[in-house]
Amino acid sequence: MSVQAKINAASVFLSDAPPGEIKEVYDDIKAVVEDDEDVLDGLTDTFEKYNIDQLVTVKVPGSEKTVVISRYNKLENSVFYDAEIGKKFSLDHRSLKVSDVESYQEAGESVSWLAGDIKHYVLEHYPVPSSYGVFEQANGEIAVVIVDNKYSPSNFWNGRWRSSYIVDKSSKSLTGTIALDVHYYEDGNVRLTTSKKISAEFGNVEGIVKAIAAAERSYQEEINLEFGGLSDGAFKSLRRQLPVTRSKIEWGKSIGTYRLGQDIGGGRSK
Amino acid sequence: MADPFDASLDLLRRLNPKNTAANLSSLCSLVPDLAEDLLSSVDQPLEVKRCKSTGKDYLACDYNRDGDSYRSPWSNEYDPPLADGAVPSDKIRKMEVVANDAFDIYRDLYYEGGLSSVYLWDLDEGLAGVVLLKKASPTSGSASGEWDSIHVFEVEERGRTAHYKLTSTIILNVVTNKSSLGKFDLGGNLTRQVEQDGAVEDEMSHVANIGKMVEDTESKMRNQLQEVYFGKTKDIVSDLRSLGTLSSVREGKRLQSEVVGDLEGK
Repeated sequence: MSVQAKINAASVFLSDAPPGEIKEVYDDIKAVVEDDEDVLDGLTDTFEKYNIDQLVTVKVPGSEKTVVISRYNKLENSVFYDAEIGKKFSLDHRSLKVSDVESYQEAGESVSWLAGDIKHYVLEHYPVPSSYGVFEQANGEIAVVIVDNKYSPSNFWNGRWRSSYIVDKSSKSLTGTIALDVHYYEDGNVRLTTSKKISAEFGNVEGIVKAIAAAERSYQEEINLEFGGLSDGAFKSLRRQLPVTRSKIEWGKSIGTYRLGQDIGGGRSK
Repeated sequence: MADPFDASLDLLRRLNPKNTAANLSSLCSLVPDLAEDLLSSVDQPLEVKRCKSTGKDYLACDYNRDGDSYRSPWSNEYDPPLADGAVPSDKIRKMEVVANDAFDIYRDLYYEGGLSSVYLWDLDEGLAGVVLLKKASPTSGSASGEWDSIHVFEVEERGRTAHYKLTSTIILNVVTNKSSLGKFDLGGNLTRQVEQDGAVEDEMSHVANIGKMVEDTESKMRNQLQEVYFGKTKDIVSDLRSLGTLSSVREGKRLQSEVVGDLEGK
């Protein structure tokens, strides 16, 4: 297998790392490729893509708020900013270490008015350690990202909620995506991955956060309903809890009588 | 440094179970020396094959595979045919025929459809085998499900009793296609291990003992699957986002503790 083919395979593994488990996945990859540095060095871009896609959060020295890493607040190479804390910084995508912190002001119109609304909304619906970012984009659009992670490796589960929106003030509309990723791995490996495209309209700028809140609320309610529906529907029709006889099977030599009984009753279709 | 085999298994336990087949094939290319061991250690959804001599369907997995051929439990023949394909001894084959019949009844009673296959093989001090069950739910509305049970067991004969070791894996995938819900993938597997002793009157007692063990384990696992897939996962989503406002949740808790405090103060 060529080095490039190995990098590609390892890259697929790394991109699929469940929330909060990228370190463990990377350690496994290291062991599988036996610390082949050519392969491991080739994963730098994958780390960067993972961090940006998964809305990884980092602490910036001198700031309380954690900063969300996204494609909307990337300046150049590995430099990101958050106008709300007035800083830009370099990020090492492997170690998530922050360096070269400098003060930063947005070039265009401030979006702090929206950041305040989003902050309030996130505090009310996303338990810590949630985070968010409001970033001005080209042509007057505003990007809003929200992320919440809950890691409980001692109970063998981890989860992540991500949502991101592009708000267009001129057309009074927003589009975006909500995505869920939940991993449960006690004596098994169960994964829930969901995503839904959102589009909504708002009357005035005060309506932006209301539109986001309504979309996220209805999505969560729909997901909750689906769990119930699947449990009562598709799942129940797979395997019964007890046979129609309502008692466990009498194993042994006379087990054939079940079939006999069925033949007399006309038989069920297979 | 961690062992590449253990690391491969850990990786497959972490990465999306939906991609297990593709990830397994990548791992086999990355570490060809481990390919055989990995293929026999990782459970994958079962394939359905049709027995050429009986026309009946059977389930294929690593346990009835020899090279590129699979053995039918109904005819005991390999497809494509093998001149020297591994088959059980006459004694074990007789038991295999009985076990296939018994689990076909089990399948009908619990699954009301689907497919089952049992494969046995000889061990120095007893026997081993696998019970396979597969069922796809009829698509009801927008949702459908797929269930694969893989029960691998070892029987250690000790005169009038036997010791049974059972490793059960159930692979469950649920698919829903509702445009209002967007993409929704829920799937994976749970594994449980059970050991117990059973009385042996004759050789056919093994089938009954294993039957009971599989029935009990599968019934317990069915409840665990339901709990994990539709209970635990939902709870984690609620941990990520609160439908009610967190300030009102906190206020509710504060009032509750005040009431408790008042009661305790009395």
